[in-house]
Amino acid sequence: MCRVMLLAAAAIMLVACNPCKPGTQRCTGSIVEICRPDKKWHKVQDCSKLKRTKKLHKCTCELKDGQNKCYCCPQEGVKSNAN
Amino acid sequence: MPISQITPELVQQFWKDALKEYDAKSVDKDDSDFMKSIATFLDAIKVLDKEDFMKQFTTTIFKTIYRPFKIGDTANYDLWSQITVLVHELTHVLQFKADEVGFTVGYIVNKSSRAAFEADAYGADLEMHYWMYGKLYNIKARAANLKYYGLQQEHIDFAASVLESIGTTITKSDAAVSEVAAWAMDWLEAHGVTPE
Repeated sequence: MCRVMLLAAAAIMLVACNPCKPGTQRCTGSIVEICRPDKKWHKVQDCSKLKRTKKLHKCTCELKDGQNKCYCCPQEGVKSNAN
Repeated sequence: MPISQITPELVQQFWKDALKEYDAKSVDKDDSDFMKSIATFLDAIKVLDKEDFMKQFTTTIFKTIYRPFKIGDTANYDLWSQITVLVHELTHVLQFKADEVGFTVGYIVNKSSRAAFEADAYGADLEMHYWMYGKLYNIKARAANLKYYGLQQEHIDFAASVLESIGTTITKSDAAVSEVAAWAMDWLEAHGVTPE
């Protein structure tokens, strides 16, 4: 039991302390994230929680000028609880 | 009703309803001894001219928005700017309410956090601009304003990336990202204001 808890704590520490490269962009599920100057990820937008739309959206990245540029992109389908 | 027909009364009603919606309040900077003290302090340490702080900058502390204009009076701010500045400042109120200690401490002591909070609030007024004019404002020029917040080029570049991401989303989609901007657009449409 102790070993499991230690492993879990180590995994959390790894995730929490893993620095990112400033300016890097990525999708984490439906969330667009950009790396801050202090090497922490910043949640920019959650594509599953956009307002004033009935469309489903997903996080998408495209390569532009050698860098990943991420944003929310509409896709086929309709939100079940549109707002 | 196009933007040219927005009236001072409509803007006053917008402020009243928005402040109520987000449980915030507003004070004229000229009526606040607290703001005058901050202006004197910032001037003394040569961060910001006292007159500029009092006449140009809207400042939000916790849930109170200190404005450098009388609502509906266009002497300092035009009517559309009075709407968008409230959307921006209410975004800070939401950030504060989401994590009171984290927002306050982060904004003051961590430049990257300050840049992130401002970038998200700029995103809200970017959406308002896009809704009204059908195009994005100059993102690099807007992000460059962060130099007045004690931030460096790396923070300005980060904020520009945030704004570009939000800008790409709203130009490719019919959606809104910011909760406050979405509320404001709904309110304006319900009161007969239409984009230009």
